[in-house]
This record gives sequence, C-alpha cells and structure tokens, in this order.
Amino acid sequence: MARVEENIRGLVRAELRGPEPEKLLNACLAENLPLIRPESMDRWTLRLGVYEGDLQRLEELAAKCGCELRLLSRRGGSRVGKLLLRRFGLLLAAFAALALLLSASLFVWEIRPVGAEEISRGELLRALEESGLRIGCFWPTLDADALRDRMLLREPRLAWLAVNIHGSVAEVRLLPRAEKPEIPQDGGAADLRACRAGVVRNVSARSGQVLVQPGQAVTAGELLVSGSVESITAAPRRVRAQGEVWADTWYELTALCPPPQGKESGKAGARGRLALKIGGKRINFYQNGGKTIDGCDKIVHEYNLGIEGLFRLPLSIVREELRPYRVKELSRDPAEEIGQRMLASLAEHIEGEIVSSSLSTAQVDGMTVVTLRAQCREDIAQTVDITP
Amino acid sequence: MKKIKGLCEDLAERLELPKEAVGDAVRLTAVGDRRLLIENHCGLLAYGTEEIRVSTGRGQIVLRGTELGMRAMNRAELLITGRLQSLAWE
Repeated sequence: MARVEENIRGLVRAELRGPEPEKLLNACLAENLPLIRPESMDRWTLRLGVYEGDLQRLEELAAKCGCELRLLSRRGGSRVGKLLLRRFGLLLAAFAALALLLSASLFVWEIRPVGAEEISRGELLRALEESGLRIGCFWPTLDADALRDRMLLREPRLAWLAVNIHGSVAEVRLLPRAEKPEIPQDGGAADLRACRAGVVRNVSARSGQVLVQPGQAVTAGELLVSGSVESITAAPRRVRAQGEVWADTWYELTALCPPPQGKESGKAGARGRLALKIGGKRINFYQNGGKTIDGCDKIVHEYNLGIEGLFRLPLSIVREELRPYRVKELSRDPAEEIGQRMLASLAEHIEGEIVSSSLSTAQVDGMTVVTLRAQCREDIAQTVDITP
Repeated sequence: MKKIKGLCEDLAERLELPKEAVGDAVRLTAVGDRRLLIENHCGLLAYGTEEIRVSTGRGQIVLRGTELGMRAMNRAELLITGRLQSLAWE
C-alpha cells in the first residue's frame, strides 16, 4: 500500500552530503517532513526519499543545514501524469474501459432460469425474449410485473415467476403450474370389463352385479361387474358399476438390440479454434464454421470476462476443441441393462405390481433379442359406459 | 519549565501514577532485537548503520548494532530496525 502511495504522490530519492547530516534529519522532524527510508552511507552522507511535493522544502532545509543535495531518482507522481498525457490514446482507452465496466453492470448479459425443469431452456429463453427480457437489455427499465404477466399468458405451464438481478445476471425463478386432478365422472350406467386377460384373484365391487369369482380366468373385454342388476320383484335396474378386480396378468416384452458400440476419443489429432462473443453476436476466428464435422467430438469452453456474482462484461472467449473419435464394439452384454429398462417401463405402465420376472436372450442375424416375461398383479377393471 | 516537569514527575511518583501519563518521559518499545520504537525523543544526534544516538532532553540513548536504519520517523516517534546489540543511556 505504501508503494502505491509513493507511486501516486511521486517519490524523489536524494543524496545529502554535509558536515552534520543528523542536523538535517532533526530539522525535517521539526518541520514534520515525512522522510522515506533514510539510509546512512557514511558519516557525512545520507540517502533518503521524500514525496515530490516536499522536495522544495527539503532543498531549503538542506541549504539551511549546510548540506549539499543531489537528486538520484524520481518515480511516479507528475511524471506518470505527463507520460499518460503524452499517450492520449492509452488514457482514452483506460477511461473507455472504466466506463464500459461501470455501464456493463446495468445490462443483462446472462439469463439463468431456475426451476420448472419440465420446460426446456430454449423455450424459456425464447418466451422471455418475446416478453422483454433478452441479452443486452437495460435492466433498470425492466418492469418485472409486466414481464411476469406476459410470461404467464404466453406459457400456460407456468404458475409464477420472479426476476432477480445480480450484477449483470438475471436469475428467473420459475414455479410450474400444478396439474389439475382428474375428476371422476359419475354419469350414467356402466359395466366393468377386463382391460386384459388374466386370472382373477380378488373382486371388490361397490356397486353392480359381480359376474366373476377368484380363480376364474378372464379374457380381455370380458364383463366382470355388470351395471344391470337383476331384481326378483322388478325389472333389472341400471347402475354405474364401481369396484376393483385384481388379477394375475402376464406380459412378454421383446426388444432387439444391435451389438453395443462405444466411442473412443483421444487428444491425438485434436485441434482447437477460437471465437469471440460480444453480447449476442459471435465472431469466429476460423473458416467454414457452418459445416458439420463428422467423426469428431466437439468440446466447447466458454470463458466470461468478469467476476462471478459481482459483475459480468458482455465479452466471452469461446474455445472449441475438436477431438476425432473412432467407433468400436464393446464387450459388455447389453441384455441385462435392456431388461432392467424394460422392467422399469412395465412398472410405470401397469396399475399394480410385478410379482415375478424372467429374462432370456437369443442371437438372431447378429442382433440380440431380449425377451422379458413378467407376472403382475393389477387392477384390470375398466369402466365401459352402457349405451342405451 | 524544567522545574514544573520535575514537579509533575515527583507528584506522579508519589501518587504511583505512570510517568508517561504525566510528563514527557522517553518511552522505548523493543520487539526482539530487530525493532525499536522510541517515543517522546528530542531529535537525532548521530545516525549510522552501526550506531544511532537519540537525544532525550536529559541525556542520550546510544544504540549499537548492525544494519541499523530508520523505517519511519516523525516529530514524536522513531522506528529503528536492524540487528540491535546494545542499548545504553549516556
């Protein structure tokens, strides 16, 4: 810090020679003249530093004390100012950089959506741009309420949003709209029919006439609980059959998979290329940027100019690394992995549980055929309206 | 003036008050053998890399050592650095 002060105020190093240099030191102390790093060279010689503004006083005191003053060096102060004035372009660039730095924080240079993962980033950014929040916009004039209203009208999957500005980063907090619950229609007469074949294990009917017994095999579409209830005193009356019919069902899922392949890439033969992004514009320092490059992995590194959380300049350097890769066959067996995925998919699909499962594989024409057989227990009752 | 100073110091001694609170007594603060702060001095009498003499008004402090130098100085304080070997009152 002391060195910075010395550079700003300007430091002059001088050599003083006289019969009693201590007298000069005492005179400086009495005058409250700050001396910087005084060094005694010999009995009659003293070297010391003073600020540029105090040089004249030092010269006067040296003359009073009978010392001879010789300037050794000068650093900082008016000398730097004069040098800067001579380099007007440099000074102007420094001021321009400072002005850019100060003004850049008033613009949005990054939009960071948080929440609502079901809506893609691209969709969100497009909707935000159409609503008024875009890269490079002047955030002090941004009306967050109007933006929110426009966004909620434009994007029905959103329930709420809020915009927080940190430096040049606009953080958009999103709250997705909750799905409406399905309201059961309690309409006219209906039957319960089997949605798939199986062996009935348990019947629990709240209304309607039960037509199946536990242990009975049923086919898809067979009537399980009838909406037409017999009466010994009157004509059959029509009701809406309600209840659950749990049955054991069997599934057989088959998948074909090619031999597993993987990519092998290395740094050998890799090449890099650079681009500069200014706001929303990009300047490529290479040719044929629009061409697709086959057989290469593209790794993109983007370096923003700024300090995270404090400010961000609208400048970033993009470095793209292109690494050639080659395809090779993997030795691992994909059947297990595919079987697990099929099982997970089945568990999501049925309204019940998987009781047991088995997996088998076969090789057909160089392809692996994976077959999953599963026994499930599920509610097979499906409401079918009775048309009069 | 000297009489008044002496009177103040006598009074401080009788009342068991610290002398630096009453008079302009010289105060030395040493940090190991590398740094010495002298407060309430009355000027420099000699300045060299091996010997520094500081006036106290009633005598002088003689500092001897090697690579002696002054880091900071003003009307009331002197900060001396270097390798201190001896300190004497003369």
